[in-house]
Amino acid sequence: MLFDELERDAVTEMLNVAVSRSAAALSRMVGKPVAMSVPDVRAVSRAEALGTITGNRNTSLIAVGEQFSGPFSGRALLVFPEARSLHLVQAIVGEHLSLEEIADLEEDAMIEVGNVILNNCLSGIANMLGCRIEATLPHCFQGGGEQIFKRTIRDGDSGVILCTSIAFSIRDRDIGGFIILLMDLNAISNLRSAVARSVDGVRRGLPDPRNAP
Amino acid sequence: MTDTTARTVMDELDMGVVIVDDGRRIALWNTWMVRHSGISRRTAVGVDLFALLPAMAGGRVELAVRDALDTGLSAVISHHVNHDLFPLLRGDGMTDERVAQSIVVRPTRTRRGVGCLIQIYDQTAAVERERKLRAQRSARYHAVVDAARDCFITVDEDGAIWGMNPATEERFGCTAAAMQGQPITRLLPQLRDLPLLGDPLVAIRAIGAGGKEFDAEISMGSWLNNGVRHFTLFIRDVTERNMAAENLRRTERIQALGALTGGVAHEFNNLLMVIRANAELVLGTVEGEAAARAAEIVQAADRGRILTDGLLSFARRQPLNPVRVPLDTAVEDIQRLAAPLLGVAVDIAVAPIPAGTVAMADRTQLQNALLNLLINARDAMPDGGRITITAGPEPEPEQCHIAVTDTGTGMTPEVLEKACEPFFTTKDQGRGTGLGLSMVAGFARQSGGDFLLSSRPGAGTTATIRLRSATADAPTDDGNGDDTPAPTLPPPAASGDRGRRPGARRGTGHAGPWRPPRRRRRPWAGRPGISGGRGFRPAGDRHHAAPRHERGGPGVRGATDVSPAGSGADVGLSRVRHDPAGRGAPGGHPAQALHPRRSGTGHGHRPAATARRRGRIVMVHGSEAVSRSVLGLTLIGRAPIGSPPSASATGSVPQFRAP
Ligand SMILES: Nc1ncnc2c1ncn2[C@@H]1O[C@H](COP(=O)(O)OP(=O)(O)O)[C@@H](O)[C@H]1O
Ligand SMILES: [Mg+2]
Repeated sequence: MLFDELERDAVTEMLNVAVSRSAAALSRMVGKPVAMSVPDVRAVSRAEALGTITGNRNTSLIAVGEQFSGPFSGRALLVFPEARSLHLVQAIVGEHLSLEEIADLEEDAMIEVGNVILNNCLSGIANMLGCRIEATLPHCFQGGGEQIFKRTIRDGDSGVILCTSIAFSIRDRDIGGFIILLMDLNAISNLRSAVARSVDGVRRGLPDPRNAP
Repeated sequence: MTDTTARTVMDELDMGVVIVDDGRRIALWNTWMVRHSGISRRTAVGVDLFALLPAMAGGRVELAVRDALDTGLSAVISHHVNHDLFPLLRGDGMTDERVAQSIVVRPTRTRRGVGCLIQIYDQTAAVERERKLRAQRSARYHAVVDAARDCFITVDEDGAIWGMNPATEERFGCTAAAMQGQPITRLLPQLRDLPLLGDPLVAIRAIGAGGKEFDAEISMGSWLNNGVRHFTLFIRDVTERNMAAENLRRTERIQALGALTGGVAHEFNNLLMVIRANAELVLGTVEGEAAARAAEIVQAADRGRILTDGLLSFARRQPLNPVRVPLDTAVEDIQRLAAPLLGVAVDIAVAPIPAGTVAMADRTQLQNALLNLLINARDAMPDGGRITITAGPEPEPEQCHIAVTDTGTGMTPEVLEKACEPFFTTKDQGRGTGLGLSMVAGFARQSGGDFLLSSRPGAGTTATIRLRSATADAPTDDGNGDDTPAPTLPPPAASGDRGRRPGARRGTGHAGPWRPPRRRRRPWAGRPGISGGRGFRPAGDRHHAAPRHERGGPGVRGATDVSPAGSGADVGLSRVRHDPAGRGAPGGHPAQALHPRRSGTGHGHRPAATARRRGRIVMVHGSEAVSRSVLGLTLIGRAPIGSPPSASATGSVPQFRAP
């Protein structure tokens, strides 16, 4: 067990705060309300993460990845099934464009959307840990799940994968994707203690179950 | 590299470079920025970037700068997605177009500590290039797709609609804008099973604008766009093609049926004649019970004969004797003839028939056909109604028509489609044989014309026989055609054909003593209650002022021409050629030869057509006795006064009714 339930809630909550900031940024970009939420965060194996993002189907995916370093390092990935990503791009750039036009813009738009979302997640984590994280410019990856993972999250990578689904709603479109955070062990233990600190605050506010009548 | 060289290089760059310090104050503002923003370096440096450009405050760039300064994150910002980035003008002296920009924001270090580097790339040229390319590409695409009459719809692998051409909008009564992103099943519910997407060819029944159904043939192309599969659906309306194919199938079926029935009927007819002839011989030599039985055999054979006649007509193997038939007198005759059959509740009216409308047809068969139509009309009006007969020349030269319109129940499209097939009937067993219309159609086509049936449920039916017009030199009807005394009317029991009065069957069948027809000389035309129909409307009555059979007229909206035109024509021909009876033999007019003999039987005005047909049968069997007996059979329309009512009763309706 990586996180206990309360810790997991805390991480989920933190990511929710992060993506709602992303949503605010996106809705400013789009000029329309954007809703975003992350239902829960799980620590998974690479294979599990792969199964989750592909849905065990051989669909084509589009991913935006950033590499971060500092007191802790790792990779952040935002993954969408490509068909969804086109909807997302269409929702963002406007309905007036044709499929071809949108396909032309897809990469640009996806990079930017991924950038906004991932940066907000990373800055949320950095805030929580009270540290700076340096992140590279985002890159775009396309292809099957395994192809994308090969270039981003390698088999031999030590570390922990945090995986969460992310639900978007833009202009009445519901678009589901995933956020994958690969963190090195150092990062994860930093995160744990940071989470533990804030959770402690919460625990202190709760009645101790052992003292309960 | 010294600070100065670095500055110089910065100023030479064809891109904007801005560096802000940890207080968001501008530390560097390169020449490119000066040129395109119109803000001098002196004004810019040292000032909070977002105070200098307040329009950008709270925007994407500010958030990115904040993340870079506070956390160390980098950002890319694209003009595709963001509309209000740096307020920069191209300033190329030609336009004051805004600069389409893509921006990279990343953390950097300044002398004072953490800073943020902002790089601004001018994408205007690229945007313009892309726009042109796209315009070219889509011009080609639209030239093809927008002009197409078939529907083109693009969907993604989830079945969401991405685009459609104007033909689709029109066909489905929707707009591309409204359908974008909607599931394809909104237009084609049958595609609910997504595996269908990707099938090369799918045939479904689709519902277009206004709920109009059509047969859709959908061929699908699939293509990859950046790794995403898309499908283009080409939807073609194949309703007409399917209908044509269905017609062809039906025609073939009828042809096959015709060949079969024709062959069987022909053989069967010959056997019947042998049976009948022998029964007649027996009849002449016995008395009492035995005579009654023999007479029953003769009668049954006569009924069988009528049935086989019907089949032969359908198969168009009925030998015809086309003569000049003036339609006005033909209609007059048939009106008189049919009136008692029609009952009191049915009015019959005749529209004025242009004088000189003369058809080229077998008179007897024509009257049989008309009788069939009248009886069908009657049967379609159980609660009474009106029958209108119209006749006249057709717009096409050398053609004329006779039409029978009723105000009856009409037919559903399904019934209408089948009505002319042999043995198709919706009537109760014993009331309908389903041979009537097949016979009429067979006769019309064999006569070089055709038969049209148009009907709508509840709106009545119009049956139109189209015939060739007679040429001036065509033979007339044996010299006595037009002044033929009124044909005998069938006895009231003939109305029993409707099966409404089973008890009223003539005593010629099972019950009661039977006497040979020939000896029975009771004219029944004067019987009470049967003399003539009722309510002959004057011509020109408003009900038939506008004949409904005219094609394309308002009366035939939705009508189906069920005449399987051309079907079986060759069947009949080839059969004639191989017919050992010599019907097709040149010069052979056995009927003529036989005619005097027939006159000798006392039925002097029997038309040549009948005689000729009988003649053929005689030829087949080559027996005097047979010929005499056969000629004893009276057919409706030509039954001489005083002919046996029983024969007339059966013969008047060319439908076989089980005794
Ligand atoms: N005038 C009509 N009105 C309505 N239905 C008709 C009419 N004429 C023919 N039909 C339909 O077509 C069928 C076939 O007609 P027909 O070939 O004359 O055979 P039958 O009269 O013995 O049934 C009829 O059973 C009836 O359903
Ligand atoms: Mg009938």
